[in-house]
Amino acid sequence: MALNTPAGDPADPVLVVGGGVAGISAALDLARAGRSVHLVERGGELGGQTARLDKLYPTDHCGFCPVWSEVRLCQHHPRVTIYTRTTVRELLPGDGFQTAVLQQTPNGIDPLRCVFCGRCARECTEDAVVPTPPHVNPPAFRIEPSRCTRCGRCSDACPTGAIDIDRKATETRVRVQGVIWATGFEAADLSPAKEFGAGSHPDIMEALAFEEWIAEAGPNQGRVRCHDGRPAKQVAFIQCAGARDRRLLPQCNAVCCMHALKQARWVKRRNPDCGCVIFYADLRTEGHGYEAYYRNGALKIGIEMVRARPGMVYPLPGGDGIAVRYENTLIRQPVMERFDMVVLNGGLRPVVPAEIDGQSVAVNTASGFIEAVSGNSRSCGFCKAPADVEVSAVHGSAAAIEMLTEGGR
Amino acid sequence: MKHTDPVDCILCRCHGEIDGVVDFGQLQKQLEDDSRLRSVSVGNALCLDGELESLAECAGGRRPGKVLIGACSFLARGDALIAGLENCGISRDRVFVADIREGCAWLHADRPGKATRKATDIVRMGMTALRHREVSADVNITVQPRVLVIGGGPAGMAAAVAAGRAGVAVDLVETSGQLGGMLNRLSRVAPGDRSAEAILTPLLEAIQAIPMIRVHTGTRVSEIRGSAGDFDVSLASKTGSARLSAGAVIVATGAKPVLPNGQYRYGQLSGVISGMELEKILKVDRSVGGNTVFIQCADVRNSKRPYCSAICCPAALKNAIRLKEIDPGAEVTIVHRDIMTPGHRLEADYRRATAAGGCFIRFAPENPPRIEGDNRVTGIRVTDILAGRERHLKADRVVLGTAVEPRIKTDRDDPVMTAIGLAADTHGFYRVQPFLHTVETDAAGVFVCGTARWPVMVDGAMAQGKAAAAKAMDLVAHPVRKASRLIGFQAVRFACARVSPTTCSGCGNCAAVCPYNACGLEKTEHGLRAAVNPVRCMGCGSCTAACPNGSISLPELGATAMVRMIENAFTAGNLTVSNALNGVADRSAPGCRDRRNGGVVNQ
Repeated sequence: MALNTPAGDPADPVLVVGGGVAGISAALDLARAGRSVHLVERGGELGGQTARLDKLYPTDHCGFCPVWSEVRLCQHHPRVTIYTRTTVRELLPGDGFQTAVLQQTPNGIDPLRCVFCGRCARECTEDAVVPTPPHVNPPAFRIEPSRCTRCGRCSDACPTGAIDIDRKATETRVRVQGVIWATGFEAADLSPAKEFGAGSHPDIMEALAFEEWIAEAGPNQGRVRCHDGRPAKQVAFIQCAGARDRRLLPQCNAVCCMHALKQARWVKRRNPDCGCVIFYADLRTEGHGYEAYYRNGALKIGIEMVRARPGMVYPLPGGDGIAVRYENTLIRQPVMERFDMVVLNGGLRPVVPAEIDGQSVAVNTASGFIEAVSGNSRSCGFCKAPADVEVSAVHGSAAAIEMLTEGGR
Repeated sequence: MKHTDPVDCILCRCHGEIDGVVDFGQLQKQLEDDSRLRSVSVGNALCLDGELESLAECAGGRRPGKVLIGACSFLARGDALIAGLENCGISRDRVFVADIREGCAWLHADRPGKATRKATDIVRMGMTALRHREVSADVNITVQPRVLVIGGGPAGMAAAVAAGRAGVAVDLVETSGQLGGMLNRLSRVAPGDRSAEAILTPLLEAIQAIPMIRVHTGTRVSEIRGSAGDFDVSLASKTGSARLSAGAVIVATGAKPVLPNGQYRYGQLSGVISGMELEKILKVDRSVGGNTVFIQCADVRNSKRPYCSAICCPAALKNAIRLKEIDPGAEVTIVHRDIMTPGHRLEADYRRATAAGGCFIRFAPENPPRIEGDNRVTGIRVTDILAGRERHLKADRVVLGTAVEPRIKTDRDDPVMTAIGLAADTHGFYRVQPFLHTVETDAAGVFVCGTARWPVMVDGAMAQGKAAAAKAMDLVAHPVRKASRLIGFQAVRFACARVSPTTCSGCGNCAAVCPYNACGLEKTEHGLRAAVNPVRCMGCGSCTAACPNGSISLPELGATAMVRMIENAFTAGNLTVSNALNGVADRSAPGCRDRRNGGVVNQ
C-alpha cells in the first residue's frame, strides 16, 4: 500500500539536522515511510550525546549499545544519506522546496579505508592523529586539523591509502521538502554563576565531563579519582547548577536529577566506601520507572540527599579538597563541608545553530529552544524542549510523522 | 543447506594487524590439514577493493559452498564483509565471520605463540558453527492494511489522525460515548494555560474529515486474537457485536484518576475535594473565591504507589494561577514535596504561579499536613521543613492533587491484552521497551501510548500517539512481511525457536519463560506438546535454556553446533574434554546420537 502523504511525492527528501537520538529516530521513521532523508551531523559520527554516556538511567545499561543498533540501521538504510562533519550553511527558499547548502569539513583519513593499524599515529610528531571515541565501530583515526602541520608522513605510512591530507571542504546542495531540527544540547558556560567555582579547580567538574572521567572505558576505568590521582572519598553533586537560574538558564533541564542519581549510584557501586551527597532543589523523578530507581537504586544504597542550594564552592588551600558551603535546612544553620570532588549538574543549553537566524525557515527561537511553527519545519529532541533519551526518541518519531502528514500546512 | 557442504576459509591479514601477531604460516598449515575445509586463502584487507569477493569467487569456483572468514569482528567490518558476499549471490546463511583481530591479535599482541593457537581454535570453532548451522523457518505474514486504536483520548486520537492522514485505514474504539478522554474533564490544559477545546477541536475535525477513520464509540474490545500483521478483533457494544481485522494494535486506554479515599479526610469532610472535582468546578463556575490549599502527592509516591504521577503538580500550578486570577485577594497555597515541573514550559508555569502570588510550602512525607474543621474544612496545619516551623493555614477548600493509576493491577485482570502478549509492569502500567523503542512492546505489532504506558501530560501523550502511529504504519504499509523482520531494534532476528515434537514432554517450561508469549502448549495426538508462534518468537533462546530435555533449539546455533564448537575450542585429541562433552551432546541433541564415535573431535 502506498502511503498517501499530502505534501507532495513520497520520495521528496527531508533534511534532518542532528544525528543524536531524536534525529536518528526521525530519519529512520521518515525513511521507512518512503522518504529520502539527508541526515546531517556536525560531529564525526552519529549517536549524539547518548552514545557518549557511560550508563543510562533507569536500567544502568551502557548508553552506546541501544543507540548504536539504531545508528547501524540508519547507515544501512538505502534511503538515508548520512553527512558527518557537516553543517547546514544556508537554506535557500524555493517553490515549496528549499535548497540546503551543506558544508562538509574534510576528513583527512577515510574512515572506510582505515583499518586502525596506528602507523599514522606513530609517525605523527604533533599528536594530530587521534583515534575516534571508544564507542565508535569500526574504530578509525582522524586528523585534528588544528595540530596538523601537513608534513605528509602519515599518508606515506598508511598501508591502505586512506589518508589524503589535501582533501578540500566540500559543499553539497540538496533540494529538500522540509527540515527537522534535532540539534540537541551542549554544556553551558557556568562562569556567570561564580559561586559554583566552575573552572577554579579540576576536581570541580561539569556532569558530562564527570561521566567521561568515571566511565568504564574512560581514563580511570570506572574508578573515581581526583585529578591528583588519590581516590575520591566524598563526592558532591550539585543540582540545578546553572539551570532554573535567571542569570544563566531559566528552564529545568529535566534530565539532571536522574543523571545525578545514576552517577552517584555508579560511584557507590564501584567504590562502596565513597560518600555521595546530592544537593537538590526539587527531585524530579516523574518519568517511567524513575521514582523506583530513586527509592530502590539510590536511597537504599546510602546516597545522601540534601535539599539545599550551595552558596559557595571553592578549592581549599593546599590541595585539601573542595569546600561546599550551604544552609542545612534541618538545623537551619550555614554549614561548610569538605569534598574531594564536586559535580555540577544542570548546565545544559539547547543548540540553536546560527544558520537558523535570518533564514527562510519558519522557526521561533525566542524561548531559547527551537520551536518550529510550520509544517515543513519541525523540531524534536532537546533543542525543542529538555528531554531525555526516551522522550527524544518519541519526539523524533512524532516530528517525522508530522512532516509526513502535515507537511506544507 | 547441508552439513557436508564444502567450506572455503578466507583469512585476512589486515595489513599486519592480524598477521603481525598471529603466525599465518602455522595457522594456514593447520587449517589446510583439516579435511573439513576445501580451501584456505589469505587476503590482505578483505574489506577493501573487493578483495573478499574475488577470493570467494576463486575458492568457490563452479561449486559454491560455505564461506568462513577469519577477520575482524562483526561490529567492525564483519557485517560489511557478509553484505559484500551477499551482493555476489552468497547468502548470509552460508557465511560465518570468526573474529581473530579484536578478540585475538589485538588482545594478545604480547604473546604471539598463544595468539596463533587461539586464532586456530577460533577459526575451527567458526567452521563447526558454520557446518552445523541450520536456517530457521520463516513465515510470510499477509498484513491486514488496518490499524486498531483502542482508546479515544488525546493519545489515541493523535495516533488515529496521524495514521488516517497517511492513508491507512483506522478503527478507533472508545468505551465511553464521546471522544476526548481526559481532555473532556479538564478546565484548562497545562502548560501554557490553553483551553481543552483548542486541542480537542482540531483532532475531532480531522477525524470527521478523514474517511479512512472509523469511530466506534460506546464500544469495547471484547477479544483480540492473532499476532503482528493479522489480529482478529471482536468488538462489543450495547447494540451488538462486530468483528474486524487489523494489522497493528495501538493501545491508548489511558489511566484512571486516583480517588484519595481516606486520605486527608477526603470523603468525610466537606470542602476537601480532589483535583478532578476542582476541574469540574472551574469548567462551569468562573467565580470560585476563597482561600485554597493544594496538597500534592496525595496517596502517590508512597509504598502503595511508588511512582510520581507527573500530571498533578502542573495541574495544581495551572489551577492556582486561575484561582488567583479569579479572586486576587484569596490566599492560594500549594503544599508539596517536590514540585515536578521539568522542561522550560512547565518551569515557566511554576514561575508564573509564584509571580501570581501563590505560596509554596514544603512538607516531609513522614509528617503530612493535618486537616482541621468539624463540619467543614477550616484550615490545615503543616510543618514547613524549609522554615522549620509549624504553619497554620486558613482554607475554604483543600484540593488533593489527583494522581492517575493504571486501569489494571496485574495481567490477570486483563485477559484481552494478555492474549496478544501485552503485559503489565510492577506498577500495572503496560510494559514497553526501554530507551529508543518506548512505544513498542515485547509483542510485535502492539504499541502503547499515552497514560496507559506511564503518566504523561497531554502534549507528551499526543507525541507518543504519533510515534506509535509511525511504527504501526511501517508495519501495515507492506502487504506481505517476513516474520523474521518484525524485530524493532535489529534488521533481522537471529533465529526462531524450533520444537522437536518427538522428544517434547509438554512440561510447559518454555511457555513460562518466554518473554514474548511465543511458546505455548498445543494438544496433539500424543498429548500436550510445545508449539512456537513463528511471528512472535524473537529468537532470544530463553526456551532452549529452560527446556529440561533439549527438545527446543535455535537452528542457527543448536546444541549440536554449540557442543562441537566447544570441542573444537580445545586442541584436537583432548579426549577427556570431548568425552565429557559428548555426554552433554547425547542428552541435549538427539541428532548427535548417531554420530557419536568415541570422542573423536573432528566432527
